[in-house]
Amino acid sequence: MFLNAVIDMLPAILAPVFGIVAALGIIILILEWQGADPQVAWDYVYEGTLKTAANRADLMAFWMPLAITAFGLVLTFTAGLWNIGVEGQLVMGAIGGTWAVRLFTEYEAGKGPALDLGLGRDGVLILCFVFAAAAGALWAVVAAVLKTRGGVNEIFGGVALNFIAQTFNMYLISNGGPWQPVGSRATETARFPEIARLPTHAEFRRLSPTTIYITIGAFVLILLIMYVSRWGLQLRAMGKNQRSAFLLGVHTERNIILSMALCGSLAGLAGAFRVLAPDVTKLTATPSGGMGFLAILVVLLASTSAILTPFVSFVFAVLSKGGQRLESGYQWDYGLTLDRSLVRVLQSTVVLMVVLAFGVRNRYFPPRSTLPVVDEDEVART
Amino acid sequence: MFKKLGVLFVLVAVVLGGVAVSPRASAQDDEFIFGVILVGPKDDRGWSQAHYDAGLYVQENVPGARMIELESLNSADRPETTLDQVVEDMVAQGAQLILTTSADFEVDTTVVAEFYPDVTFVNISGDDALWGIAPDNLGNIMGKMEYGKMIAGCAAALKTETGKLGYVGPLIDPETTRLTNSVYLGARYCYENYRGMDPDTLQFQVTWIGFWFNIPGVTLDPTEVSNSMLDSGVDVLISGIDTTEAIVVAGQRAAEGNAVWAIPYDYEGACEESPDICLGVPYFHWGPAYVELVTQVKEGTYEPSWDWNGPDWSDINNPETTAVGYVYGDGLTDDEKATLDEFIAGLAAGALGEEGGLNLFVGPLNLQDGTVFLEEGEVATEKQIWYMAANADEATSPDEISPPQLLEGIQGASQ
Repeated sequence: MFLNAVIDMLPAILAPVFGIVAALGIIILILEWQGADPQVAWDYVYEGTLKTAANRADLMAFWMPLAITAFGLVLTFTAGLWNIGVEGQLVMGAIGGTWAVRLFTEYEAGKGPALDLGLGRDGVLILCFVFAAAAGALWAVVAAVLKTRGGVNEIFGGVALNFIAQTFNMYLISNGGPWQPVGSRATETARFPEIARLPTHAEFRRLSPTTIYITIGAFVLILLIMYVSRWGLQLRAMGKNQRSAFLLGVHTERNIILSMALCGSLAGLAGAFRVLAPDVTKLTATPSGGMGFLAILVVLLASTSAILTPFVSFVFAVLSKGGQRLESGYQWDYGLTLDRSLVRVLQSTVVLMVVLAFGVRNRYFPPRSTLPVVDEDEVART
Repeated sequence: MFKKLGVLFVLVAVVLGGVAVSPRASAQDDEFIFGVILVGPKDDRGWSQAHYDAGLYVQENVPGARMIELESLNSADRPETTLDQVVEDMVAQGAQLILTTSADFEVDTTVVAEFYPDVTFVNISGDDALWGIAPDNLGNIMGKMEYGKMIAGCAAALKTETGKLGYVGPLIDPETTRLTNSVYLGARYCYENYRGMDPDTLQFQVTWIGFWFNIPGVTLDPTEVSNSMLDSGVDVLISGIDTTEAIVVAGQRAAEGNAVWAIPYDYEGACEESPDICLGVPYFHWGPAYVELVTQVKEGTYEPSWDWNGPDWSDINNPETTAVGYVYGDGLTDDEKATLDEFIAGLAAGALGEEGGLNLFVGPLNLQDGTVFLEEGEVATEKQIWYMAANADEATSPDEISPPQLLEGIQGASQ
């Protein structure tokens, strides 16, 4: 029985491995073609990500918002919801967190907090995370209600809401927007005051332990939901067949809204991580920079497995940060300019190859547990 | 199965075969490494390329100098890193001087410079060193592009038939406001004095795209902005953004038979995008300033300062000496070039304080909200021009200066 389970799991594990290996093969060919030595490339990726403790700290700092966004997406993808709007939810989280800072701290010198609750640093930061999570959740709920009540597919709603969130963000901080400091040349808010800065690791000034705890907490929460709770079971049922789940008594509408809201709030926390990062501490022009989309790729690659998500997102973080070191390393040491989009090509190749691997597997080696009971009439109707 | 093995074999062969290693360049004793951080691509034919080329110029002219650069550092292109991390990498690589070449890096540079007191930082286009609030190892450099922009405005005014000029602007800040106003002043002057037209009938509209270059889904699309300006009757497009969309669009429209022209910005070779309809380009020539800077830092004589470098008025296109220049485009007739020569000579005389010289930042000038920028006969000070604010000289800190404003008569937002 256990062996069977393992054998069933194998394709799920092997597919990403195959995808990554195939993608690496392709990337090696590209590097060769560009005249770069692939072996040195691994050195650079290693140097840029894992070699020193400082590298690993920076890698962690980048990985956490990606991972926590992906955790949330596990819920929505399991429930069969394509939450493309996660990018906008992340941006809204960044805006929400910044708003809390603006409300509860002395943002402009000498003016005092807009809403003086006499909060210390912990209070400000907690409110910052709460606001971020709420803003992200709100944005997700809009997409969910549009779907359940408005009949707008969550993909289309999400795309539109992403655009609105990003545009709203730019409105706030560019061209003399309400959150841009007077006379500022940069498209960003002022840096957050000391009281709204995360405590940093003693050795690594860009890493905050607080975000680590929150990320771990979120991971545990998602594991509990997916593997322990009845609700996780309901989401799975909805993912398999929403109508059947509904007929069997699952509150599908409520679950759509709830799962979206939870996903949105986690994305919102990721947005807070991005603006509160000790080397950022401000709202920037693109607080997400495509991290939400990257998280979607992560979850696809992890085949919506909550357990695999941290590892897959870790691989993506390594590819992102290592790719940057790869580019600058070749540039600085060899005077060799690699195309800047190489990293994105690599990531996309990984996903494409893995999805292909899954396709091949489902086509030729369908797992027994999901051997389709083909209803010929159903096929004929659709 | 054999096929799979075959593929595997090829991959392994590729991995093992690719070991044609050229030795890593290592820092030598007489080597001076300087880092250049660019906000856009180094081949953007605009702002970032002008800086990149200046770095190459330094390598040619300062023995032992070697540039390490990072292009496209912005949160959309590189969400995985920050200025702080890039600087750390560059310092680890041996950089002793780091140029952060965008206003977008200004605040972060002041923060990061504190972490590396032994490294010299220079933020291009910033003004922290002007106020004495910057760390001791941080200076600023900028070119007096307002002259180049006045020439651009003049060229546009000489050419326009519709009397409508369009300015594709990046984002609103003191620098962009200053440059837009300079174009407008140059255009008004030449429209009146060389064309004999009433300058009040000259229409000048600005659209800000929201950032220095196009970020899809974040900024307005400069291609669309350019097209809609041309649709509204504008026949000369003037670019204020880092990249070349305005001249590209104008070139396409000209190929369709429209009588439209363009003036790109930043990069000496920008006219090459569409030479026939190019009226010239005001460009930055950072090379000489960078050479001086690198030499001084190398010799340990650099004192961080705020340097606003002007053109070499004896020849604004002298590659050895000038900080800003203007290359004429093929779209200008010989008569127009002669007129521009006269205009430039006037600006030169004005800048050098000669009798009868031309200074366009002289009152009466009003700002867009109707307040007075300069009284009748009042000549703007350097700070007033830098900040585009009347009270720039009275202020004791940059916070007290009024937000920059466009001049009265320009159509477009000041904030």
